[in-house]
Amino acid sequence: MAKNILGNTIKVQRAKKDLTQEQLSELVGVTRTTINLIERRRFIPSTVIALKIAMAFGVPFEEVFFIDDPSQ
Amino acid sequence: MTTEIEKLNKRRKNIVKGTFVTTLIAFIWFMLPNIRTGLIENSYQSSYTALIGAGLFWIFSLLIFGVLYIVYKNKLRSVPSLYAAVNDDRIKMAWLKSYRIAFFAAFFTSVLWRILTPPIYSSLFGTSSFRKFIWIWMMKIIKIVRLPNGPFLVLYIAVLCLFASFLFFSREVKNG
Repeated sequence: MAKNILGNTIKVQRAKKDLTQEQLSELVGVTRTTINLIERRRFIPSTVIALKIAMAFGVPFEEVFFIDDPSQ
Repeated sequence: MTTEIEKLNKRRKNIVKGTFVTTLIAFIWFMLPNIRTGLIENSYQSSYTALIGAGLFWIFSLLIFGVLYIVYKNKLRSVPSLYAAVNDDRIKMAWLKSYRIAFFAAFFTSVLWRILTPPIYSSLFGTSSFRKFIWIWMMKIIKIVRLPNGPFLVLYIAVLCLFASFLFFSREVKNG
């Protein structure tokens, strides 16, 4: 499975807030596997889920998600 | 610590796994006697005993897992936030992809089964010994999937593909 171009800092943000994937999944309202796959860039989340993740960390959206296209 | 979301997610996975395994058992049960009579005993007889046995086993197992799924679904419906969490975008996407794969699997199986119908091939293969040899083996393969097994075969393959692809798409990535 190839990594997608939507980069994220979820792992860093989780470490800052001392949150496990399971705790974050509960805050966002998704399964832990979904958080795991988003974090590993294997799944592009919907806008709602992405916003919920940013809200769970209490930071602006662009601090969590960014475009990471090596071709550009 | 395992959250309620994870417990319910695991429960659904177990139901899907259970349905997949019992369908696979029924499929093997259904196919093996046909392969034996078709390829080894060189007989044109389809195994109706296997068809009935496998069919009954499959229906019974589907009923059990169906009841388990209804109980699970009712529990989910009572808590809307849990329902939304367990059926998140990724899961919905996994189901959609799985249905697409199951549809194509059913489509191609039925097309293949229809193409391999004897009247088409009897005119294609002539009288040379090599052609006869191909024809005999072609017939042996066709016998495995001929009526009344064909529709059941399509159904089995569609259901197997649906659950196998759902388990594949909803799996967790361990490394990389």
